[in-house]
Amino acid sequence: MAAHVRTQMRVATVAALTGLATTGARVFASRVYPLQDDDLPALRVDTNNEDVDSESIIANRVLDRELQVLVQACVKQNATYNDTIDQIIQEVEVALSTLAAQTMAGAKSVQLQRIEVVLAGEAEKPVAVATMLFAVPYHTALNAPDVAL
Amino acid sequence: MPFTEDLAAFYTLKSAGGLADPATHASTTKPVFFDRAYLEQLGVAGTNPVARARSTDFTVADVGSVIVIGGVSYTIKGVEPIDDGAEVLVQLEAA
Repeated sequence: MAAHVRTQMRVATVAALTGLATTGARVFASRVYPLQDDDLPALRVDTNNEDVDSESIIANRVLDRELQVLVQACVKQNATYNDTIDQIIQEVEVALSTLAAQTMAGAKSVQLQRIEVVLAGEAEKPVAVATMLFAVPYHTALNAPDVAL
Repeated sequence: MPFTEDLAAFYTLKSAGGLADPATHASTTKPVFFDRAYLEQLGVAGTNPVARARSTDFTVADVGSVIVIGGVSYTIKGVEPIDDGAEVLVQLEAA
């Protein structure tokens, strides 16, 4: 059995975002510990909530699913942090649009739904984090969450 | 009888037998108590550099100016009064 499609999508997202001009190889999946200076600027990737609906009532029915893929751009620098954040957002959008065209791990699309930027100024340098929320719809059979239909 | 604070003994430089660190600001050496505690913001590790000083040495007019402590340059990003205002907390941004 392959990994759950959620995992496949997270892995595919990390792969698509690795090597971008601004964040390079500093892409972290499901990172729970704080980023250090050497990690920045960086991307954090996670697969969060998922809405699931059943499309039929028969056995082995198809599940209509929509996964939330979270991509966070993280920057700590003295000035123009918002410009850097916008640049990273641009690079991520382009990279994931390409991924969407390749139907990432069986996804029907990769749709940017929301961007939220938070700035903080208490530390030794300003910190800026942009959270990009992508909706990724896909289908699986009830008994086979590792295979996107 | 009014109480008048005398901060002179507290703000004596270490080089003169006191406890305060020397800070260079506006071409003058001023006594401060420097701290740089760990601070995590938005999932990013960092520090919170601050200098406690006399309000006669730093005012809000100093925001944006450069201060050097321990050979490291900082930009003053805020000056906050402490208690009755005889002392201030100078908020610092690393270069």
